[in-house]
Amino acid sequence: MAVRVTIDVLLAERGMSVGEFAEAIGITPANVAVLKNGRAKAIRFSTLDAICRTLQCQPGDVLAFDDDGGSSA
Amino acid sequence: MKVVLAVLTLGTLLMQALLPVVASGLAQQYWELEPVATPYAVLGILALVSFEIALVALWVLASMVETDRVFSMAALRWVDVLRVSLVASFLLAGTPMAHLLFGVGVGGPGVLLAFAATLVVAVGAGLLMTVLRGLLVAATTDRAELEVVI
Repeated sequence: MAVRVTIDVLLAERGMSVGEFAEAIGITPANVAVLKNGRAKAIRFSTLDAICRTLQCQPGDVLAFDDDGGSSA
Repeated sequence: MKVVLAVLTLGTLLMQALLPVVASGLAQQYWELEPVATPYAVLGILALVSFEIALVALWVLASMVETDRVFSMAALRWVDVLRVSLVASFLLAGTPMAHLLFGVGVGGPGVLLAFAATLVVAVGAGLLMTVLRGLLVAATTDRAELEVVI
């Protein structure tokens, strides 16, 4: 999966723990870990909306794409 | 719904107990069928046992629906049990009728109608179960796909 969710930097900047972040966006801490590790296969727009609202950022700030030429996992 | 299933099970068990009595009674009435009375009774009891297995499978599936575990491989296997036992039950019930009609050559239009009806119900039930099984597979796959969405 070449699309990555990069929330570490923004979380550190906001000084938010993973637990607080999970509660703020309404998903389990386990799923936050799945997001951070790049193992997520699908994400709801509502979740992305909550992430951007909580971190006060644009979707482009938390999503990155590395074209590694691999097939979709 | 489980109450209905319980009543059905009791009724079937009762039929199973009474069947040998009815069979021997009929055998005394139609003496030319005396030799086939016992095999027919056995087939009838087997058909009822098969139907009871189907009822058990239905009960398990109803419980799975209640506890929201029905979109799983386990449920699929119980659906297969239900399908096979239901069709087997009707086919087993139809075998004596077929033998009566084509083997022994007795039994008027009543038996022919009953046999045709049994065959139609068996095929219909089998097709219905196949379609519903396909529905369950599709729904389970969709559920699984949706489960990984964060």
